[in-house]
Amino acid sequence: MHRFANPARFLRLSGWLLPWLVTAMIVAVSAGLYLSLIKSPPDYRQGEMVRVMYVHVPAAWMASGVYFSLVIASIVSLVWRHPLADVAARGMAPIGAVFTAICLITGSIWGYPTWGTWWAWDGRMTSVLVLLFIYLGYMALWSALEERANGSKIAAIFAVVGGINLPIIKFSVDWWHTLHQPASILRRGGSAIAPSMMQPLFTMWLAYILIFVVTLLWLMHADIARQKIEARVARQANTADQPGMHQGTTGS
Amino acid sequence: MTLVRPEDYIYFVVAAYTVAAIGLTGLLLYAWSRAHKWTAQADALRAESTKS
Repeated sequence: MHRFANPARFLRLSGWLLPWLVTAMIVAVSAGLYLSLIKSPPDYRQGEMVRVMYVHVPAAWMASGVYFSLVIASIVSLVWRHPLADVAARGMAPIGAVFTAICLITGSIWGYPTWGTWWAWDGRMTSVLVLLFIYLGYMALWSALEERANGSKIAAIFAVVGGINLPIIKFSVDWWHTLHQPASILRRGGSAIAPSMMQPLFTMWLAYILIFVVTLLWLMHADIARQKIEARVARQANTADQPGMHQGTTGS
Repeated sequence: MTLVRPEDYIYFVVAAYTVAAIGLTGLLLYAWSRAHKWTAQADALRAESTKS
């Protein structure tokens, strides 16, 4: 496991993988849009509104899934102090926040014609809104504690504690029977969705997963490069401060 | 009770896909531009120190 946590090895491997992942992402997004906007039939009750489900439901899965990954990365950072775990956790936060925002906004767009309201303080909707605030809080905490030695540890503890919201999101529709419908895919007795609608749903989910992976790798590359620059600048400043060491390496 | 006629559902579909497209394209551009900016700076710094 430590072998893959080496930043240089990670950069080499991910640099080789990225063009393939970007190609797969473009193919998956194109296929997902074709299946959901053209191939999928309208629902017998919802009509064309079913097409909103293909962008909303995978965004909801990604919102929770990305946060789950963030919690795992934070635990790895706290327990094993992997150099890449903090970088990964930090990169996941803005991605998860965007998926959560897309889930909330598209859910609201679906809700108005279907339920007759843009928003209700329902258990599922409220817990997903809380998830968005947790993502934003995590990002704010990172930027506030960046300079502190134990900043990453505090952010990781915050992320792990925030993980308590994940089971609340999952079981909110069972605990509180309010507006949001209960699970219709992962449920006892099998899925309640027609196979012709499962295909666009899962293709869009695959596209979202690839968008997540590509974005995360880019953000991790950026963070590793930034840390290298900061370390180099700090080293040069230390060297320049020591008497008899003023020859410098950059000539500046 | 719904206040929207079924023939107007298409506007809501377009709105939802537009929101998703803007959010995800923005995210991809943000990540790509950050990666490009910092790796270019790191490469420039490394080249400068190798030269000197």
